[in-house]
Amino acid sequence: MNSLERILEAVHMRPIDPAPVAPVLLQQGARLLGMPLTEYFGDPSHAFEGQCRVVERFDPDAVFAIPHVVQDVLGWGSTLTFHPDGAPSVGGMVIKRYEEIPNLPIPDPTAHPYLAKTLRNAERLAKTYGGEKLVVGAVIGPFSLHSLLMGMGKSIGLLVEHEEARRQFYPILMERMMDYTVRWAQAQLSAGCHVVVVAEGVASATLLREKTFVQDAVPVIREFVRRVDGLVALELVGDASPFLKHLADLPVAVFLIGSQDPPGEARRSIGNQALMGNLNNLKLIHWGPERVEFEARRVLAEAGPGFILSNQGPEVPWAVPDENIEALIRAARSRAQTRAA
Amino acid sequence: MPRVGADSSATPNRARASGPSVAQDPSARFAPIFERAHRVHQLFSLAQDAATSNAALLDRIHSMTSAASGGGFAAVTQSLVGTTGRLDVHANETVTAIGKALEEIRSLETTIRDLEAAFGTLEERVSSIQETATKIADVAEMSHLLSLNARIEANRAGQQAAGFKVVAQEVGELARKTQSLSDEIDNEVSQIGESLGSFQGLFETNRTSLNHAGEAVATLEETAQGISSDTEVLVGVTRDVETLAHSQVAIQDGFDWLRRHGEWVEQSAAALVDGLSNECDAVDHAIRRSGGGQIATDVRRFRDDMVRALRDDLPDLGERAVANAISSEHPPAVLLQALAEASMDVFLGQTRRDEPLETYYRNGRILQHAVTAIEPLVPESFYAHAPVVVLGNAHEDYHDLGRRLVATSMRAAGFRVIDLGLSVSNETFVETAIREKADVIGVSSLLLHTAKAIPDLKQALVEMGRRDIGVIAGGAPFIVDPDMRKRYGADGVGRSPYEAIRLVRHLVSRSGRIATLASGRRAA
Repeated sequence: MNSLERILEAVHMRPIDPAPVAPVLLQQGARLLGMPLTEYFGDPSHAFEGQCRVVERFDPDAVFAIPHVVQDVLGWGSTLTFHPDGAPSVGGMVIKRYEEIPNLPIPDPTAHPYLAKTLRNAERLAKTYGGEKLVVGAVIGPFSLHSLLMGMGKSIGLLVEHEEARRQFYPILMERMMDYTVRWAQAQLSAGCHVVVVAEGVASATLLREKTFVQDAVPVIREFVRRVDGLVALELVGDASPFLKHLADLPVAVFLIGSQDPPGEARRSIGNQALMGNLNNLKLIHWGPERVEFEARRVLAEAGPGFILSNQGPEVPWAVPDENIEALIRAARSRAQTRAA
Repeated sequence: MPRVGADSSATPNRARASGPSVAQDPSARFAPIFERAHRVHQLFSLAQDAATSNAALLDRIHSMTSAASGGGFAAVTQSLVGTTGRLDVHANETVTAIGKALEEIRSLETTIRDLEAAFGTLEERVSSIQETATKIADVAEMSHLLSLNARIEANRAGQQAAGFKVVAQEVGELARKTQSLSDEIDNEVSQIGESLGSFQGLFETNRTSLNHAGEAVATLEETAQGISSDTEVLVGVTRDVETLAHSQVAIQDGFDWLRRHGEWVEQSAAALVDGLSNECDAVDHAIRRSGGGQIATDVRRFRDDMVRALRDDLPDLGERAVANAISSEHPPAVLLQALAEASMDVFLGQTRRDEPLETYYRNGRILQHAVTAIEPLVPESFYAHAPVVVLGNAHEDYHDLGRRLVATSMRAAGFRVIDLGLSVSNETFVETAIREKADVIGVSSLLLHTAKAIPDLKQALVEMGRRDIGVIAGGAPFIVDPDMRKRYGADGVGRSPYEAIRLVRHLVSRSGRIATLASGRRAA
């Protein structure tokens, strides 16, 4: 059974030996290529070579076509600010006033050179590893993308405070976000990704009240999943467990959970659906390999079948030592998923 | 790198009123009384903070004591020790039994070899009998031929050889019988040979089985040795676990000690809170008796309305309450005091329920309106004892929502807040903190790589001899990994506006100053 088959077994909730493991290793490619992060992220094509090196070094069960998670804003005319020891951040806000929303064009993500190169990565990864490893794409979800285009304050303000602006502009904004994100997800799937992760950074119990989540976020998430033709993995960034019950019937391949979501609790909330996560990505920096292996085994034991071992989102930080990544992989490879949660 | 300037809330609070004169404002005559009342309320709030913290500490101690329940662990350890001991005995017995089985198999091998040798001899004897039978058959054949010849000769000799003919016939008969007996012997010997042949097959089968059994037992012996060796390791681990269990009992004793002292603090804090509560009531009563009753009633209503507005998310009610309170022309400092109490009461409940950011956003817009209206009316003298906080996002951090909510909440708590806005350099933090005589610098950081500026900020303060200026941090990395606070040298982390305010008050009171304004106590 190869990596891809192991992951598919997990998605089908069947016990697997060894357990599948897919840490989100995006920045590590730069280190393995001996390239500064600013240069590595400056051209997303590097991510293909980086992923090849990651496979050689760590042999995870999944490879990632995206160079980092914030690139989606580029299609809207935003810019990136690169950092020497972390992922890029958004360079500036595209929407400065709510009144600008109706005039927003819906850009074609595939037309942006940076994003087009990401699609090329997906094609090359699919060609190189397609039958062997899971090729993963990612988009920032339609409910959350606008927070990166106008700032979190304005986004939440539009959602919960400014009633008139919400009435006028929110439906238009959501329509724009939905069209863009669905098109971008579809493009990645067409390019060869087996699955696309939709990361909803605003839709979790860390940020929203349950009523707001159910009323505003759930319909958007459902619509996105309905419109995307292909496998979707869903990540509610932050505290997800309290809200997963509202999405238990959603036809997604896997739900990503964070370190604040114990797998057992998430399982009770989501039912018979596959989960992926959830080692604390900041603690991975400072734990020793033995602790990483211990925590990974603990999580695997708690999660049972239908679980893919990984870090919590969005990725394994730059500062995490390679020995810890090896320990994480080792923990999965030496443990069969034989126990239920 | 883009550098967005400080937003509109970045101005060091407001253009403050110089303070109403007694002649201009009838309420002003109560100002000194209210000031004393504020001091009592401040002390009450600190006592209440201490009681709340101690209660949380006791809760944690109780849960930790329960989690570290020595009985359960000790029982499990005892069971582990017992099981490991039995396993060790069983492993040794298994090794011994397998050794004996191996000996028996080897003995059986020898016996089978001896039997095979005996059967070999038997086969040789049977072959010898077969040869003898063949010789007898040959003799019979010769006798038969002899009898025939004798009969022929007897016939040729005629009547004189009649007796000889009888002898020849008898010899013939003897030859026939001899041949018959020889055939019987040959037949019997052949059957014995066949039986011996089948015995040989059985011996070979036995030998093969015995070889297999020997191999299986040898493997079993190897496995048993492995089990025995692992059992020895397990015995060692069990000893370690036993040691841990002993340590755990010691930890539990420590928890008991902490609980005992916590309960004494609880009693003292309860007495202090009760005493100060009575003092507050007495001061409030004195205010009412001296003609300030209407003020007390109005302020209480303002406070209650603000609690409802914040708790039930009713911004319109909040705006009306602020408008009414300001139009009553009561001392603005008293209104700010009431606002602080209301917000802290609501924040406390929200923090306990671990409410999401949305809740604090909703609070923030109500509080923002209230402090924007009330702050400019509060005299400068009111802030003489107020904590001074310099807030800003870490260098290259552009996520302002959390910082703005904390700034608004701190202003509502009566703090003097200098909000420097987005992406603030450590130099600017330090210069501003020193110039404004700040007690605390609050750094907000959503990203890990922007939070890394905090250790340098702390170090810069140390190098300038300003350890007295505290540094508190806020933002996702510090929530995801609480250990980061210590690693980054921050004096504390505020996971919510309530915690940030409590933290500042703690740092200020630790430095010998008394924090301003209250929480959880009805105003006069």
